[in-house]
Amino acid sequence: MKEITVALIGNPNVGKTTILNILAGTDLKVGNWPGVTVEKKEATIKYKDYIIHIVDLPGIYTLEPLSDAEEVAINFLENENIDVILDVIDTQNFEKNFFLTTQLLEFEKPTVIVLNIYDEAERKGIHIDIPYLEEILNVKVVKTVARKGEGVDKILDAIIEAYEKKLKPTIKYEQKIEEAIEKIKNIVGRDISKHEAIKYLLKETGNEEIDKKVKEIRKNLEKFFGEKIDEIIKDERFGFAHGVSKEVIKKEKEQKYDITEILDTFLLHPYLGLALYFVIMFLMFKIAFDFSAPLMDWLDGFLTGFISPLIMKFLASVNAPQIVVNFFTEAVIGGVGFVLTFVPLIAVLFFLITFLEMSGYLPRIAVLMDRFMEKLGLHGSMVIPLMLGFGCNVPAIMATRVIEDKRDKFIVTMMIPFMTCPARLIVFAFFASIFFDNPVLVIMALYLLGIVVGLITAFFLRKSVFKGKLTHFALELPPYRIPTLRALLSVSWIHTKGFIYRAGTVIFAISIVVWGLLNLPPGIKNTSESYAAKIGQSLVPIFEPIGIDDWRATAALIPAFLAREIALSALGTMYYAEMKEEINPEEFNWKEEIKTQAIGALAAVKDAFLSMLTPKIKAFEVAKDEFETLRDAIKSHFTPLSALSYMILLLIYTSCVATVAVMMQEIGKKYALLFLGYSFIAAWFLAFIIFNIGKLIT
Amino acid sequence: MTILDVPEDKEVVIKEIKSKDNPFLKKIEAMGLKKGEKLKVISKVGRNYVVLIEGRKMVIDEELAKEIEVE
Repeated sequence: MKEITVALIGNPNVGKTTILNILAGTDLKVGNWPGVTVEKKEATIKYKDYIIHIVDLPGIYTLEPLSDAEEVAINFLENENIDVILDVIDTQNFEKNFFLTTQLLEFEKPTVIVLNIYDEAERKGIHIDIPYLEEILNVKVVKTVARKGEGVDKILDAIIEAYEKKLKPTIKYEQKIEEAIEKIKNIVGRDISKHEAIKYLLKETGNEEIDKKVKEIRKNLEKFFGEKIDEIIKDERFGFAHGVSKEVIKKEKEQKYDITEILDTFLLHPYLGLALYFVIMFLMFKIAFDFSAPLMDWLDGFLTGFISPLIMKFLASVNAPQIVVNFFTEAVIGGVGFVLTFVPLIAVLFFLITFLEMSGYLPRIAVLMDRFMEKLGLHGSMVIPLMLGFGCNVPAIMATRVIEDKRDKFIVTMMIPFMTCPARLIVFAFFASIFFDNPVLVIMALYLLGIVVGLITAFFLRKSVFKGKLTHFALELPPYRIPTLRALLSVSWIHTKGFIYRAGTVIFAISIVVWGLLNLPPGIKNTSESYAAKIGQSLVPIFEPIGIDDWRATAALIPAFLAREIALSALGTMYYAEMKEEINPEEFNWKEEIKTQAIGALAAVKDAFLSMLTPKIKAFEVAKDEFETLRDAIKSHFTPLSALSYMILLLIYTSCVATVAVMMQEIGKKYALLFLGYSFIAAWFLAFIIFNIGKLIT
Repeated sequence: MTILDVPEDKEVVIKEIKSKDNPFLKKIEAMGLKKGEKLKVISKVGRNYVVLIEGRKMVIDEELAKEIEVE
């Protein structure tokens, strides 16, 4: 079998991802380019007698090194052994896209041009003479409508044909420039590509002998054209793109009707657009929280009411010691299982985010919110990751990759952990409903407090470490499109898979440590004798000034690092060891249970859809019947003030382990840990202030 | 005049991009906002101008818009 390496490249928003998804199916791998946080997608496809390895390069407009994205693409194209370049073009903007294409043709490698979104272009009266385009450029051209999957199947054949025929693209510039390129080739003494020759022409390379000779050629060109060499080359490329477009595009008269224009009159309107933005956000969280809630409940029940007893029954049948049973039910199911119950939420959230992203709405949010952000010295694009933070901090931090400016990216990463995620909401709902008459108001206040702390953090960073001018705002507003279900599912699955993987690795490891702390030294009968209790006790002096003087409450902060809501179950275990539901393994009838679980699953799906019909976000309605026993225990060990203090601590401090892990990946270990320290100090002081003011008032 | 002076919905032609080294201007140039192109200002939202360049819709801030000479 022959192997072909393909570089997939194109402007942003041309449907590259959709095409790759269709080609690769579930074989898609997502990672990072080394050294930068630009996402790298790749896929290996077996087709006919070939192994085709496709590497997706970042969406860019030019190969000039303007940011990390372009540099990644240039490095890959120049240094890797690429057999075929696969260039995706939005047919509607043929000429504008062709500027990048021109630069790609300079590599003189077998090239396949994909004319995507061909249907929209035809609707606009744009027709491309494909055979002629193939002829004048000596490339393969495929027209596709990736959204509907049309034509995508022809891409692999085109790649193979371009590869087998070793098609060398034809690209001709002005005579003077062609002559200069020839001269450079002679100077270098190798048959270099046009790209490489132009590179010598544009910039000194450090090879003194060559540079000296090229300098002469450069000077002559600049004299002849009366412009700087950068400008000359740029004009040539634009000119070539324009020339090719004129040759191959047949344009009928343009129709005025444009759905994007109509939608933008509302969605980009300075006031109406803002109102619609809040409606869209409300709907997004409503769907994310309420649709996933019944599924999460079912999953939770499935793990504790089915999987856990099943394991217990098995372990009992092989006479496993109690400690092993405890390990499986408490560390594995209780730790990893608990985090896994969040999979429905993460999946739904990713689905909706992907929808907003692929539909083209996200950049509009940046434009709308830039007005407010700018006043704080921040950039409009920062709103998108921040907004996602309310769903889950982990994907939010990953979304900071869209921010080009390193400084802005850093600042926004420092803000995200202060956005209240649903895990915190669970703890807030629990405490607030015990101690306050109007729990929803308290919860809202906590959400707001998180936002304020985030803004203060950003403001502080802008005034100290990151002084300087506000980053420019320059982005494209892609036309609105309805993404396909297939692409949506495939992209959200990739992210969900990542979350599950983390649950199975990092989170599992930490679960074991936490479980160990709660159950060691060996032979203890009660949690109060465990290492966790000892740590909890030694932590009490730190937390006493903020009103938390119970070692159980401080010890619960340790497992809360896993996921904040685990604080509740940890408190439960420590206040009442007997609170654990005992299921006698002997009575466990698995046939009956499977039936019950299946019926439960169906009911959960039904509830998920039914919940869409109510206008309110149900997740905010505080359930009163859960954790009944724990409720009483908490009531006697906390006061309303110390409960408030505890909530503030959980809100501001402890980015959960998953968040810290992703922060390390995005901004480095050092800063992630520094942030952890900072957030703890901020949390403590805030709790201290609020607790003491509260004490004075009451 | 620059983009700042163009009334909404009026079509103008880009004459020159004044600052040559700003990477943001280079990027929008590659996006298609370049010498000789027809441009229309659709609206202004905050510090940003929404402009239309033959099928492509772009947003650029005031500082960048100031650098784009039109007629």
